[in-house]
Amino acid sequence: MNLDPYLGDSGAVIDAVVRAYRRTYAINVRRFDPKAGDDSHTFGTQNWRGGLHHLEQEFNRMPGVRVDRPNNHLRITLRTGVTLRPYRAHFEGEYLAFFPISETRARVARDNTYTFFEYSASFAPGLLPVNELVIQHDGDHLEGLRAIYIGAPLDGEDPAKGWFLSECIYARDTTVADDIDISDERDSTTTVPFTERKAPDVHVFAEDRSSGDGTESKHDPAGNE
Amino acid sequence: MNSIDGARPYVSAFAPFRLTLARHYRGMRKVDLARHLNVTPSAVTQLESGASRPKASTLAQISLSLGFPPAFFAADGRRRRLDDHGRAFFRSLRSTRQLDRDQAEAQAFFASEILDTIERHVRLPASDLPTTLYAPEEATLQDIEQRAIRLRDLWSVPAGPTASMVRLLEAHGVVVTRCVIEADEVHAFSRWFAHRPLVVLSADRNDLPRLRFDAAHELGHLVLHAEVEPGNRILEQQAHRFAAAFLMPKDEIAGQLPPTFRLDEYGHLKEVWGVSMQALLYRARDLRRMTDATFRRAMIRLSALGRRKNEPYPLYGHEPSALWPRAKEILATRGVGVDAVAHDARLPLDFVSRVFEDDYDERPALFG
Repeated sequence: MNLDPYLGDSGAVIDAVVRAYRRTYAINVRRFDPKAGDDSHTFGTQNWRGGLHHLEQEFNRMPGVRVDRPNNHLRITLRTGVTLRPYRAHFEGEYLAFFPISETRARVARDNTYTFFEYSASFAPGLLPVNELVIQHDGDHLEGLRAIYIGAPLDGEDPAKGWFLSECIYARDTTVADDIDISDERDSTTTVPFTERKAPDVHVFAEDRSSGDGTESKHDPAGNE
Repeated sequence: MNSIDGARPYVSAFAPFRLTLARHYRGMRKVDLARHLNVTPSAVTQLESGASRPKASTLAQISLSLGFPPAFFAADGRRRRLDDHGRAFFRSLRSTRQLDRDQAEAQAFFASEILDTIERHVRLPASDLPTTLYAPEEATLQDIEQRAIRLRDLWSVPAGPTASMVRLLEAHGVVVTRCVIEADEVHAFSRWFAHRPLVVLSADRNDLPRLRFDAAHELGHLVLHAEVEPGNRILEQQAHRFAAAFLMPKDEIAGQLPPTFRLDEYGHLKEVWGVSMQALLYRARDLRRMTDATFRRAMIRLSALGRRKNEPYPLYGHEPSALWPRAKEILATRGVGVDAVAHDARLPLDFVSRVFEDDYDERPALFG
């Protein structure tokens, strides 16, 4: 399906999304440590935060695209006026689902449905009448990133079937390691928060200057000062 | 040995300026000390000017009143005086009480005494503050911006938000300590002691953006200003611009500064860059990302929310020192405890302990 009407330069947008999540998953798979208490929950949280960060990095560089965080949830407004919001993929059986488990999620699906039914006629021919697209990423700490989808959810009784469109934009062969280079991750960007940056080492060494330079280590109370 | 006998060996070597220092450190006026000693204020003046020398009993009483060992008051042969190495930068002489400045300066002097003592056992990073970035008073703010970027280049500071300012300063030979007094007007100050630059940060440990900006501001003074002129508004303005440019380089932050003020957007930038929302707003205005009118409205809005002093998206805590704990660790391996340092430096143990225990805060330490 041609996503250009929604994404503008869909190639550039899809590349940016894929790069963001490949980096996110690669970093989090590398630092996953069950001995430190990591589990699917911590992995999911790290992907959530890391995904926001890397998407922000990618789209901040893209002309004509606006990135903001209303209610601390990332919103990418593309040149077409369509918004993109990231979520983790959920499945109902074999179907990709979009559960309205948060206020924002519910509103996204509701807005699309409302636009679809109320304003279909005012959209240009061939353009599907939705404004809200969602990115859904799927993976785990064993296989890393498996797939990314872009879709337009609708508000309906069956969250697994309520899609106006749903496209898989990335699917990885999970039997092969992802070869993305993340060696420059920490310091190459201007959006890594100051608290996550590496502070310089402070080199303090042992030294014995109590003899040889005439400095006495003890104060002499005899008054020879 | 009673306290008078303990003081007797130091009477002949009594150094008047050390009495002044100890009095300043305790935040006492001459009249206060005179009351403690049961003498007239002019008697204290005479002691401090060297016009008279204390008897052993008076020295013992001075020692007890001020909480310094008798040995502290003896000259150490280095003919060292507080003003030998220039003065300290204070933001505003009008808003800082002389008593507070004296107290803070005495503390800085004592910190340098501790350094003299510990540097017999440990090698600290050598100071590598460049001397090529001095700025004349007539330098433009653009010149100052360039100097800040030049220093980032010289020190190879990675692009983007600066990690710990305290660690950065320490790694380049600037010793950082915290003010032991709680005077809010003494934001921070800096000065040189011989070869060693020293920055004293506010005692407040719960305003990370302010502490980081203060550290960068003092770095600005050390790098830009060869001559100290406390309270000079132009130099203060230069140091301020230096701090802003050092923490928020124009080329890296300009594109991220929204032209309109929204709490969530500026709050997010605050969390990323580790600077206050107000510093970001000033930067947005100075870099012409925000109009003067929008800037004014934003500041009015922050004031109306009652949040100029207590900003939203607070960043609590402080940046702990790496230098002091590491030095303490090395000293311990040589059997030199904090008490031995206090003894060698002839300073009160409580002061020396406090300088070494920079990271006693209960909050999680950043950049550990």
